[in-house]
Amino acid sequence: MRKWIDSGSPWVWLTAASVSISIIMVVGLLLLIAARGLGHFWPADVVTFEYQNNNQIVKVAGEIRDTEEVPAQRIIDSGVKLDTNEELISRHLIKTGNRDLYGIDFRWLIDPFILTRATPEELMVIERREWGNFYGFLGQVKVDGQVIAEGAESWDVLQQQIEKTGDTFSVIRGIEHGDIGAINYSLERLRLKQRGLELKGEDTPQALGKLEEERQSLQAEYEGLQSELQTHYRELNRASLVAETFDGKILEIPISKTVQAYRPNSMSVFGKVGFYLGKVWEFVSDEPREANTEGGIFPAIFGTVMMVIIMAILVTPFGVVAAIYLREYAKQGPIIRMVRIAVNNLAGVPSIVYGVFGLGFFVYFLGGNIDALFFPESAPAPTFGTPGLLWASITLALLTVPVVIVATEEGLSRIPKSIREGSLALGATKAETLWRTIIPMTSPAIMTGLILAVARAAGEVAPLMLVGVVKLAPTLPLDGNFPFLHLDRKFMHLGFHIYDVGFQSPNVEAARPLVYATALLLVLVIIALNLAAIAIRNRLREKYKSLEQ
Amino acid sequence: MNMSDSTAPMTHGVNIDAIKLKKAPAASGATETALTVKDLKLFYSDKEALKGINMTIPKERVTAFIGPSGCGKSTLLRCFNRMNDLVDGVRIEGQILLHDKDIHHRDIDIAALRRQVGMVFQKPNPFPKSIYENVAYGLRLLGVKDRRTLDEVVERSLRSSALWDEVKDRLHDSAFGLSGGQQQRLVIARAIAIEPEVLLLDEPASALDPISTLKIEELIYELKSKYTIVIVTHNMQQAARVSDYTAFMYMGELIELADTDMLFTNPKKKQTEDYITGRYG
Repeated sequence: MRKWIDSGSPWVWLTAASVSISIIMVVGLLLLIAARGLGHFWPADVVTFEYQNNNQIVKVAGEIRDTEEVPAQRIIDSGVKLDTNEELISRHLIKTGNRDLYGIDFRWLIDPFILTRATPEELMVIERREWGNFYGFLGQVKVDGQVIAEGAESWDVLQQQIEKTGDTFSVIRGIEHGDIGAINYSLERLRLKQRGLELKGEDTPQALGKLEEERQSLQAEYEGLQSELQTHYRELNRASLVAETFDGKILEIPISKTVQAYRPNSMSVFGKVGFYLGKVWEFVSDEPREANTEGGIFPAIFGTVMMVIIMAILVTPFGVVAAIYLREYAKQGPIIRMVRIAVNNLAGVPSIVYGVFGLGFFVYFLGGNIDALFFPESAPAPTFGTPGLLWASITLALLTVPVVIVATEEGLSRIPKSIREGSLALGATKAETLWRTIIPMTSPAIMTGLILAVARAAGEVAPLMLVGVVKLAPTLPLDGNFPFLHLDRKFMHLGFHIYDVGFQSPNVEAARPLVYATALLLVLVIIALNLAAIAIRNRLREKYKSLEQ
Repeated sequence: MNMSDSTAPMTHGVNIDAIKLKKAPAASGATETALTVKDLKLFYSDKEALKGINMTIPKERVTAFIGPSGCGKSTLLRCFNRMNDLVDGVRIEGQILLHDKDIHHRDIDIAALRRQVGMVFQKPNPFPKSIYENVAYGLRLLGVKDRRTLDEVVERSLRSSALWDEVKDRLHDSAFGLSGGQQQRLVIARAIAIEPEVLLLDEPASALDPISTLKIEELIYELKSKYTIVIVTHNMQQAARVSDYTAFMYMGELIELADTDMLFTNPKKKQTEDYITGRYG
């Protein structure tokens, strides 16, 4: 035994075990997120049940979302008359949809009370723009109140109508967000210009007339677009469908309120895979609907990546310059040691503290002063004196700058003395040596710091809630209107989206899978950002690998 | 400064035309003095590492410093281009005269001094750049951008350091691809590209194999017609082979400086004799 301990084997086992546990936990976490998140988009079969509820037969249709085993006693205690010898009873969580009819769209069914179950082929699911999913059977398709299709052929007609509506919607969206958005933006700028002239006392009738002229032409353009929109909207509202739920309720749904209709029970595996991929694509490329519980999360992905990139642009030069001073110029002594300890400890300050600091200093103080100095015309509405992308990026840059400083200092200290002396001996000054030789050689270490900073910043939520993230941003921070990048805008963020969908959503059951999917996406975004940085670092390393002798 | 006699353009105290056109080697004959050391004392914190050195380094000759480890020969060498400034807690007293000016005078531009007094270190230290850029480094520092000038100087420097034939087809490859001996010759080429007057070599061959060492020694022999060379070496045979004058140092003091043949065959001091005959171990 003693010999075994002395041999070092237990040490090997101990170290290996801790690595294994870490790997198992990380992989397990990722698998859990992936399975829960990605499963959500699979078109599950819709099952119909005849269910005995207090001596009445109820008809229920929906997707089985979850099945769990509960002790029989607990169900009996909750007032259900159940006569069984079993210890455990299984119960199913059914997504029944049709929230407009029932008020709820999830319900639990206790297994022993299910009398029959079936998966009828013609049972359809309609994804709607409001009230969530509809489950039922298609009856008729109407245009302008006239029935144009009924019975078997109505399915194909419905698909055509939905496709047509989808096209119209994208046209409308193009006009509203693109053209009208640009006009509104220009009008706002004109208003600010006029206000600016008034503030400076240069509001001569001549200048005002010119502005008014521009405004008139924009207004005319706007009215033209508005009438075009109205025709599209009229077109949109013509068609509707009539459907019957499994328990016999008849409902008429305007086609304009549907996103798509499908019959999962009759889909082949390939059909399901195609549908699945379509849903996943929609999730990453579309905007959220229904208080973020439906649709996609593209604005959140975009906001996250944008913020991280701006943060990286801010933090790298700042951290590198600070590290160079600490390592190269400052006289090493007790003061510098204390500064270094303080920098390291800065990394341990709770991130919400940075958020409060960012709000108080950047947003209110800096932003408020910027507004007072440069944007008096838009007062009292704040421009930079309100949380926004710029302040969020700066706050996170502050949060991550210790990481970059530490990594850069580490890199600088690893450059062999002989390289510095070689450069100095050729008549280079210290600054020239730094710029031409030392900093390029340190760049892999700088990239390492940046990788750590990006990973930390992308996952951070708490400070962002104070300095710029919102539940739903009407516009992206990057668009076609000058100056294209709008640093003053609020933005959406994946981390905050997880919190919002998971804990602030009115419909928790419907939102839960989206929490997993969003978390998975956030992890993927961070991995992608890191891989990009690692690729750059490896190239730099290859280029500047120092003499290892 | 002797270079300032010409009307050629000056940049940072260095005559660019002299670099481009290569000044004619000075006529040999009576040896002039390149460096004069007067009463030089150097302290590391409180420890006295050099104890009042007086010597002259003759121009366009090879002077070797020998002596046991820790005798101060490298420290003395590093005084000549003020490399000791980089070490914390160093205090220097006395004078080193280059063109009758003390190099420690506060008017002296250190960068200009180091261009006049080049240095090659014990371990090859090429920069992580291409071979071409390594040699062009000093010129780029001077702001030379003209491609033709750079090409000429790079080729001439590499030829002078006997490396041209080995690297002419891969000038733009990384300098790290070269062998240790080639790297050391590259570093010498880099140093002579800016036409220094004095070249300090700090045990330039101690990290190299015998063949590379031989090449470096041949190179030193070639270069002494144009440059004043000061070499520190542990290897007495090497000192005997390459140098014209040899200085023996012991415990921070200059014991003897004489013509190499004299010093090795007929040393005047007992300590020198003991050292060269191996009695110091």
